[in-house]
Amino acid sequence: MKNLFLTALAVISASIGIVLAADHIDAPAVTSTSSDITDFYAFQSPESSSNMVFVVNTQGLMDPTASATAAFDENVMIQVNIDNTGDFVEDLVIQAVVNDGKLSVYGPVKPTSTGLMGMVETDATVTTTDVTEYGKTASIGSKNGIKVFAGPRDDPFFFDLVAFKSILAGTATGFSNPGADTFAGTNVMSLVVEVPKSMLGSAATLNTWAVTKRKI
Amino acid sequence: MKNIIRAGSLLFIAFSASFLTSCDKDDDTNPFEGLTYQQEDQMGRPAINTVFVATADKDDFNETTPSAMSGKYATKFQNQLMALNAGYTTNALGMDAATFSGALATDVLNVATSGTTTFFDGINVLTGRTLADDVISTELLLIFGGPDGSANPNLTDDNVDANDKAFSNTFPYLASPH
Amino acid sequence: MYPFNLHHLMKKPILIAAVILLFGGAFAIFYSQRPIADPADYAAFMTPNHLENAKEKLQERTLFWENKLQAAPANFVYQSKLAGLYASWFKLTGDVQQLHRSDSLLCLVHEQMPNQVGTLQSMAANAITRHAFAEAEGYMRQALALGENRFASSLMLTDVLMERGNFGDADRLMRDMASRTHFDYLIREMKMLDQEGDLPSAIKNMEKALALARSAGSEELLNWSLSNLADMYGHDGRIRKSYNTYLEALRYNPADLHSLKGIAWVAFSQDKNTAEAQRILGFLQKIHPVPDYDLLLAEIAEFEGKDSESASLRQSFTQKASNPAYGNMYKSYLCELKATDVGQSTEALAIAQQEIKERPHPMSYSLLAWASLQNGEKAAAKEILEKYVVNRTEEPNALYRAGIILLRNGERESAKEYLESALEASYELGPVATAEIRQELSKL
Repeated sequence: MKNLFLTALAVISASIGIVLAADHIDAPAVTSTSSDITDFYAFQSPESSSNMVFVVNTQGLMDPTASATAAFDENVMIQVNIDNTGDFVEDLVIQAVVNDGKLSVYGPVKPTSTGLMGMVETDATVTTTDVTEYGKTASIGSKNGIKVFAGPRDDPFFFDLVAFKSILAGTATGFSNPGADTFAGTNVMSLVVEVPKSMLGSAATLNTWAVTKRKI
Repeated sequence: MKNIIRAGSLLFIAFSASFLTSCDKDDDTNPFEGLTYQQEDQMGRPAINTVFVATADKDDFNETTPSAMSGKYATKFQNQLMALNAGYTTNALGMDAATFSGALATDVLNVATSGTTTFFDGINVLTGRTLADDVISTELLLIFGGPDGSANPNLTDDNVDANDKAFSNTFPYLASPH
Repeated sequence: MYPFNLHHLMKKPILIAAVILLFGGAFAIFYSQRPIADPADYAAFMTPNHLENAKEKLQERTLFWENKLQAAPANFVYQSKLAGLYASWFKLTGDVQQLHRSDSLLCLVHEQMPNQVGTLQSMAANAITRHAFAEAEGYMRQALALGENRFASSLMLTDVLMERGNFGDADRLMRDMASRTHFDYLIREMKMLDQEGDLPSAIKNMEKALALARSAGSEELLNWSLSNLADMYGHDGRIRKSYNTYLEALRYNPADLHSLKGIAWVAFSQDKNTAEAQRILGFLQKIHPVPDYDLLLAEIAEFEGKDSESASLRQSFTQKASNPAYGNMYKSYLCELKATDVGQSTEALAIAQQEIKERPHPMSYSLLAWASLQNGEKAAAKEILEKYVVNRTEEPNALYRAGIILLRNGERESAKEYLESALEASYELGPVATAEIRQELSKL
């Protein structure tokens, strides 16, 4: 979990002061939280030791009712960066974008440019599927040994966040036993991509990280 | 007057029909082609940002590429490590404060391309991160546990050891939503 | 909506010119006479079911987090979640106790975990809803100083600074922001342009934000953008477009009461169809018991010449809105009402002076000037006007008040200028104010 103090700030409102006949409308103050990454995982596929799995979760602490109508922000790209030369600069990227509820995953591919700005590598291999709706069977896209999924899932993270934050803040001196999983019963919006390891180069160890980028 | 209006509406319908054809063509082009994207968030290892990055630095850390992180943040991470655990000497990985902080400051998730991938399974360390890994307890152990993991026992385990829903062995592995 | 878009039309200018020549005049005459609000267009939204559905969902969510909090009473994550949900309850039902509940929860979170940017932002959002702008500014300055999530903090501080009439600092904050193509940035820029009186650019900005909401695929943002854009088309006198945009907004959120109220205003101000406006407002009042509707109904009654009914509706509004639980929320409306009510203008003056402390915005000064005038202090009114209002806001209501204040001070030429400018926003000001302005102008 990265953003460990998720507040009620999904869409908070502020009076915007546009007056129509003694009336005003409230504006969403902050809508950018849809790009907050809650967690990132990278592991060898339980299905096949020749595959690698990447998981990027966003929109943490969703209750079941909120999950039923949750959606990916279609202006946001989720990207897994992979460095296979040890210089901590991405040599390969896997890019996930959603359009009209349909997921497209490009790559793994060498990016045209590295760093904070970027483009969708539209010439790369693209694996597609529908974003899985809440309560429906997982919709899986596959191509050339690549598998992709996107949709609401149980938050795999487990942690006594409250005790941890209290210790950091100096208001508690230790964890209690048993601890309480702050994230029990909640969901996230997940992206799961499985790729053949052969597509990731020949390094013994990869340096990987997840980023979100917004269309400008 | 009514007839004129109708004639006008018909004209508009004719227009829209001819435009539909040109729109169909647009549908074939990739909607993501030529768009520029700007980074908003990034993440490597779990909870690193929360534990080691000061509130005032969080935005900057999110916009610092990993290749620049160590130079910019290693000292700050070391200061924070010592603030959290003034008695830190080395940890279970045998890393002194400078080495450990330097390693953490470059916030990427290392993953082995062969063999077991895990944050920590008792044998392998930092070779990936699986869904079931108790990553927070691992980090706590490395921060507070001392050379053999026995120091500060009330700070080295949050006592939440597993997820509330079982993971699957088949793609996409995560449990279905609650 | 029209069955074509402008972009395509531009390709055929000659044909379009011909169409305009042939039919334009006929359209203009026809449309200006035909009422715009057609009950059949929005019949599907005139049912309590949509709001009930929204409440049911919110209830499910509230129960979920309440259950979790019950099992862990000091859990500030759950307290934060619930604070957000109770603020939503207030928005949905108008029950101000829910807002206070939200504030109490945030207070608990803040006590346990001080200096959290997210908490401060939520506290500021609630304070803004309560129109406690000075308090909100304090929270946002604190949040911005802490440093995390500066973009969101800057946006929210911009909101507050604009409410507090501090346009210089708001402008400086805007210039420092990095993401100038972001939805959240565009709507602040839109507000700034609107404040400067550049409505065409403000609308263009809002249309850009709408395009982003469309490509984001968020129904919530789409609904908000459309509803807000509909208001702006109304300001611009494009009533049919405004009406159609309200209808589109309702398709994305059938429980959008703001858009229904906008349609009621179209029925009243444009169509002069008081019965239909009253029907919509009556429905809204029934499912969403807040004081606001009484004020609109009072104005309609006044337009119909039903003075005693209008007076009792005003009284009903005053009584409901004076509930101390509302805090500052309705202060400016109360001030405006009291200013013109016999024997209450002193009280109006006191409220206006208090409002200046909280919200030193040109509109608050306009109200102070107005209350001073009604209190017989016409010279003071003029002084306030010239010092704090003139050239600082283009709000039609401010222009109208300025016109009357100048008139009472014997400055007929400038009074005429202001009243004529106000008259251009006749739709927004409504038929009652329009008639008053016309009457004053006829004497000039």
